[in-house]
Amino acid sequence: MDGEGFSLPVVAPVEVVEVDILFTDSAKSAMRNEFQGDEKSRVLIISAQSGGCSGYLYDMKIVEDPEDESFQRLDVEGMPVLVHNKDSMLLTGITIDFKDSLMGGGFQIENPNADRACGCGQSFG
Amino acid sequence: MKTPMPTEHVDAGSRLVEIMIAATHLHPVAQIFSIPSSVSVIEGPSTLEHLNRIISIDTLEMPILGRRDGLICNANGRILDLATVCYLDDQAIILGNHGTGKDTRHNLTSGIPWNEDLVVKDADEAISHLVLIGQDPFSCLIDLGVEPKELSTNNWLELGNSLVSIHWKTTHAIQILVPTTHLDSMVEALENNGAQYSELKEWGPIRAFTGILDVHELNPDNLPLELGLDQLIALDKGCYPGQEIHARMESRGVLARCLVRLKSNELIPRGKSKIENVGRVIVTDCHPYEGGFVALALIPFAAAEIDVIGFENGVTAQVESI
Repeated sequence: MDGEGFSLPVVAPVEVVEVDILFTDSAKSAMRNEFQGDEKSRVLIISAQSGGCSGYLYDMKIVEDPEDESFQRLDVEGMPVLVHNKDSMLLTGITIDFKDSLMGGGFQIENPNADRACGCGQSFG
Repeated sequence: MKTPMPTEHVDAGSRLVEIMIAATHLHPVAQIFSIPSSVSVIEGPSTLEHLNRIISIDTLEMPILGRRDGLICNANGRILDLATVCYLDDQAIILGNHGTGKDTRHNLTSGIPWNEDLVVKDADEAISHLVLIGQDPFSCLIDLGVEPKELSTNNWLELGNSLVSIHWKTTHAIQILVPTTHLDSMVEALENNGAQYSELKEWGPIRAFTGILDVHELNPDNLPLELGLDQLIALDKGCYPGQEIHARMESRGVLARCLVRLKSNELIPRGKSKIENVGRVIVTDCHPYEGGFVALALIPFAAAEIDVIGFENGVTAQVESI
């Protein structure tokens, strides 16, 4: 089907705020393990995307530095953490913790911006 | 309500009573309706993955020209929009309710991951939605080159620059997505093959008889399972907004309300009514039909077996399951 008459791409309005994220000591320690000494060339990107039971899903990835000015850059004891401007409103104020347990362990995010969260802890809305 | 058929009638071959009743309300061949709908287009290599995170059905394995019918719900499990998806290779058309396109496009756009190259477009004006409905809608398509056996509810068939598929709710209805610039010529071609173009005011009673729901029912007042839309949600696909609520309702197996059809000789009052011995009844839509009226309504599930509802204003309506 041809695109005759389609609109220009729809752009969601984005409010950009300065991101502030709190990392607990256990989270910092777990991040340090994940970086495996690659803090110079790699970054941790924390993002939000559609999905999950409550509307948005958290995502955390250690990747090559995208060197993109759309990201805000935090320095967490020498570890580079990036948050995209479009996610800044959703993610500012979160606390990232790490729980070392067999059931429900891993990174845990507490989000004061969320009206609700999914039972699994990975989704918020 | 649905009455169990006597064994001797079944033995004598009576088995299609309900289907015959439904079909006789339809045009002997087919009527064409131009249904106001929202149409959105999403483009990009991760189109199906992104849709899968949002829509209530699994879109990951869709083939090109595949069709899936699902819902977009909020975190409370309530319905925001219908989402009939047509996949066209890194592009998907999403057909939704009339008037909901802006919110649906916002939903699709706001959660695009930073590393996915996806674009959402408004095609409300560009693509029109035709429904061909009747006792024999397929006959109107044969001379246009459509082989009825190739049509299904799981795929779209290309017809020139249009797309054709069978409605998920009833095989008596065929949906056609046509570029609006070609709408008139498509309608003319269908008319030349026996279909009758009809005004939208005739659509109301038809959708009440066939159970084709629209924004009157598919809105945030309602939950999919209460509307009998189990087919439009997939509880085994993983998370989507509302999934936790739907899964809990399904596992508990208890519904507060159910959707029924009401028929009366008098106008059935739309909106909420408190009815003695029944409870709260919500009439979502009501239309004149053959000297009487037909409506869709949500009634308490506990009252699902009743035959007649008496409204406060004296109107009585026969209750039928959908």
